[in-house]
Amino acid sequence: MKTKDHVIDALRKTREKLWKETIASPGRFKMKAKTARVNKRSAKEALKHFEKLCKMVAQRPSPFKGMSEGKVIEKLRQIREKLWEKKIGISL
Amino acid sequence: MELVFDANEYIFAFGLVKKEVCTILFRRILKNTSTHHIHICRTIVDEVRQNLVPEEFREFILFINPLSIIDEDFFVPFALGEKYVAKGLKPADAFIAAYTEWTGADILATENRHFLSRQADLPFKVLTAETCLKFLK
Repeated sequence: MKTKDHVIDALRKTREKLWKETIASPGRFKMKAKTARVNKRSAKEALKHFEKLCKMVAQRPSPFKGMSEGKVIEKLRQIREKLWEKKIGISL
Repeated sequence: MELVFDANEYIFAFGLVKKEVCTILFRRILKNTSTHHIHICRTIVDEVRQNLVPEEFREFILFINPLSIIDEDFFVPFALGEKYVAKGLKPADAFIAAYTEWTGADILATENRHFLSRQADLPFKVLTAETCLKFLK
């Protein structure tokens, strides 16, 4: 007769096996991202807001003024890391 | 063509850092929305938000809403992100890679060298705005 520990060990082994399979094969994941239907009118609308945003940004001093492209990218990565840590923290 | 733009591409395109090629790339895509689709996740939206003032962010949302549906981060399977962490990417970068894979996108456009140096490991193309522009021609 199997003891409680044996059952737990067997369940853990199954979990490990499933986890390894999940990590190894991206095909297991269902791709569910929806694609927005973009018609000419909405694309025109988006372009209008894009141009307006570019104009708005041009009117103020850039927070990245004087920084090289590499430094800007590093700074953006730091912002991403901080944001991510915050998100993970919130979800725990 | 399905595309994911990293936050740095948006920021460069809006002119926070002058990089004309990023702006041209977005204009090109906006003129060919029948063939190109943009995917964007909450993390990228939040990153862009960090670098814009509220009025500009409002404009960003008005710009992105007709083009794409903002995907919530929790849609992306955790294990998919872990796969990229195991490959050596930082958790946040790993999430963007996982998101790109999850959407089934063909291209991740980024200027981030940490992605660009891992081309071979990824199931999608990682291109800079310049190479992406050439690729979409």
